[in-house]
Amino acid sequence: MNPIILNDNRFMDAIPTATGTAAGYDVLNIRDMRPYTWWRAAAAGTSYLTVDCGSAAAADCLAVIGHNLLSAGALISLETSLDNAAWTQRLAPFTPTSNRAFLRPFVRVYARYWRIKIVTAAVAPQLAVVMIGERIDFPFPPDSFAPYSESVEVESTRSKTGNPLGEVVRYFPVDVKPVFSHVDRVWVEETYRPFREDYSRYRKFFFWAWDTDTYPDQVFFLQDVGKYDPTVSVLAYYDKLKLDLKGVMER
Amino acid sequence: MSYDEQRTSLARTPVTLVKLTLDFCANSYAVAPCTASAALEPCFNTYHTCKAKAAFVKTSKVYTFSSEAAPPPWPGPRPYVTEVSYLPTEITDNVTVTGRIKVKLMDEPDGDIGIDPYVTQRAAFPEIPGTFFKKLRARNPNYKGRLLEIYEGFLGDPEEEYRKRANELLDTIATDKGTATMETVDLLRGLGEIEIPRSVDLKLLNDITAGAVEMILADTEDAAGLAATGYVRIGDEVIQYANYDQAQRRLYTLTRGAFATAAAAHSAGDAVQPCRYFAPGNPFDHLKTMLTTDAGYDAAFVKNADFDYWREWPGDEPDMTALFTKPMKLSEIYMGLVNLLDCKSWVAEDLAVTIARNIPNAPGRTYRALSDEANVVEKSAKVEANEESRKTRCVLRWDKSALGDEGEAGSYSRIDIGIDAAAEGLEYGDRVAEELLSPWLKYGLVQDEVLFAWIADTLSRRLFLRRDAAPIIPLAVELKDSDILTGEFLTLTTDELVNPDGSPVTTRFQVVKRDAKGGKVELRLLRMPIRRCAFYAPEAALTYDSATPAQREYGGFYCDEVTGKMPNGDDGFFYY
Repeated sequence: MNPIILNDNRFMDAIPTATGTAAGYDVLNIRDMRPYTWWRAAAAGTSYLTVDCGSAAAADCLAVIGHNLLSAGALISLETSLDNAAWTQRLAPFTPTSNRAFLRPFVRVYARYWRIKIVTAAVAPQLAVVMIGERIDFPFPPDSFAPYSESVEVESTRSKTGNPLGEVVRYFPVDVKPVFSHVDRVWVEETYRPFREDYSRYRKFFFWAWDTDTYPDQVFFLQDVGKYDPTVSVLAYYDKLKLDLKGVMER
Repeated sequence: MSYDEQRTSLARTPVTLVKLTLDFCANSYAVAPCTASAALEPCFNTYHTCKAKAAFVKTSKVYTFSSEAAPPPWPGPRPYVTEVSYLPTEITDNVTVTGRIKVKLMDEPDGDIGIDPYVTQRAAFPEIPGTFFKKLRARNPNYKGRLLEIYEGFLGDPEEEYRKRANELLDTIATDKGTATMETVDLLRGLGEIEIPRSVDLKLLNDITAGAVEMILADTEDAAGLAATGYVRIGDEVIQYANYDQAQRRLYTLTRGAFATAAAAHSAGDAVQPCRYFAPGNPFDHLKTMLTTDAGYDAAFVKNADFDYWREWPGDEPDMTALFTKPMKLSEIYMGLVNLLDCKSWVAEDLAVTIARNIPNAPGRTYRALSDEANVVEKSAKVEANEESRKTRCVLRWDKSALGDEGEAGSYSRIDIGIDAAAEGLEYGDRVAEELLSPWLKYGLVQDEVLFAWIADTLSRRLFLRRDAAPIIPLAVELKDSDILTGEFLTLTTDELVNPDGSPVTTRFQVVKRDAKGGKVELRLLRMPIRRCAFYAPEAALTYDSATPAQREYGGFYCDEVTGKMPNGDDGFFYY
């Protein structure tokens, strides 16, 4: 599958509600884009996170970061409704393969009501950032590239004789620098550039997955710290479209 | 894993937790018992923003922050903490270190989720303006004196494994260019800022004769604060008063010409200076009194047990007394007595004042072993020769006149001098004197033989400890050794100091300064005297060669009668 960006979010259309929330873990935290503020269910069992968009709105992708769904043995699914009474399943129940970020595309659909259903047996689920929205599909894969480059913020200390005394490991910065060659001008100008101008140039974070079919675990929550400078020489194409994305590897 | 397992492991992610407890109303806005109008914009459940203060129900809300350079240890803390500056602990000749702790945090635009209970009712929602700490301060201007707790731990550990490092009262919250700084109250006001006796505005209302047994003070602000009994100085006379009628500002039942001063007539308007008199008593008790009474330290911040232990060990100090007739810095008085007793006193990591005698070895004392190989951080160590610590003679001036200046040698009528003739002879060939001026020793207070013997012992012990310079080695250790505390004893094997044959020394040190900085701790190590004291050892003590380091602390062993060395070449022991 080709790379995907998700920055659109139905949970921003209105104030979401939860069927039960633990004290201090407000449901509004799922849409504040901070991976360090969480919604947590009041208890294990079945929880719903619901939003009434006011009118029918489209989405074709779900992404989550900062969760305990694998640890909690949770089954998560996505449902929509036109009347808040009859619900249709859009993503069948699944358990993520890790507690790291995941992104699940689905068939585009319009609905006024959207809800995530989470079922756990013994552990209250928690989520930091949840997005349900319309994804941006890149038209083809990037040129040969490192899917991600992970470094380590660390303070290493050695003794006078060179023995390792200790490593203070802080965190793991991640860089993703895909380059797309000969990209259709219409796609860049009508799809990518609006995303750039309305969203990413403000250093807002978004989900990035470069191949959800083959590498579904390589989903990152990133911001674009680069310049917008696609080169052009041939009509109908941009020669190069470069992204310079940064984030932090989850543990 | 436990805290200590994480601390000593080779790779780990330290996390600092900061908890701030502020007032918070238990009510919900405009819902009974809250009487505020629902038509108004809601409050923020803080007293300052309350719109029905009579109905305010005070509870508390805890704001938790964690290190910004590490993932949050669990859901909840905001990762804002960039730096915590703990007070460096240091043994100096002045105990006046401040007790402030400074916490630096990131500040960021914040949407008030989980902070403002009514955030969705705000007109600006969801684009709530303002940064986290600016809003926190604006809503809680009464933050002063609220609790600030600091914990240290490691990523992956549960909260119960975190160690509390501070439990202080908040003094200030400042914001500047995207950062916030919280400072705690200075619990240990510096002794250097305290005067005893205090400078006061007291004057005589009327003339008095040399034989008057009462006097009236002029009506000044300070007249109300005078103690009920005590001593005052007017001109060159010290007067004892047994009663003070505060309403009439009348001192009566006067004893004129106290402390061998001359009774004299005084005039209206003459300054009346209260005196600070320490009645004869044990000097360690005087030190505690200075801290708890004169400095007003809470008893929790004075390590009574340490003062009491060293008072009894070896416990041969004579009673001491002192009269201070003009304002002096308490730090000078306190550290002067500490020095006379040949002790160290400092503010320990738990912000409590402690004390210990300067002795090279002691039964029960243990030493942690440090080495260049396993502990000393590369390029962190050096040697300060500290030549000024070497003395060949000690001059003690004592028995000060009542009105004499404490810092003037001429104020003292007695002098005793201890001399290390060997050091001044062939070995060093110079005279390096230490001069002690002690207002605490008084002739005639105890039996002459007892006092003279104590002075002789004191001078010889001081020279014994100061015969050779005590080098200082500043160095850094890694986080794994962060449990080393100021005052702790250790052995260090280092090539910063070498034996005559060039091999690295292994010798005893005391930590005289500790300053935690990030993943390292900077230490200053003072080398202990090479020569040790002898103590009676337990009956079952072994020979020196087979004794443990702890058993060797007793020194109850025979050395070679010619060389004075122990069988393994260590220096021998001396009577204390």
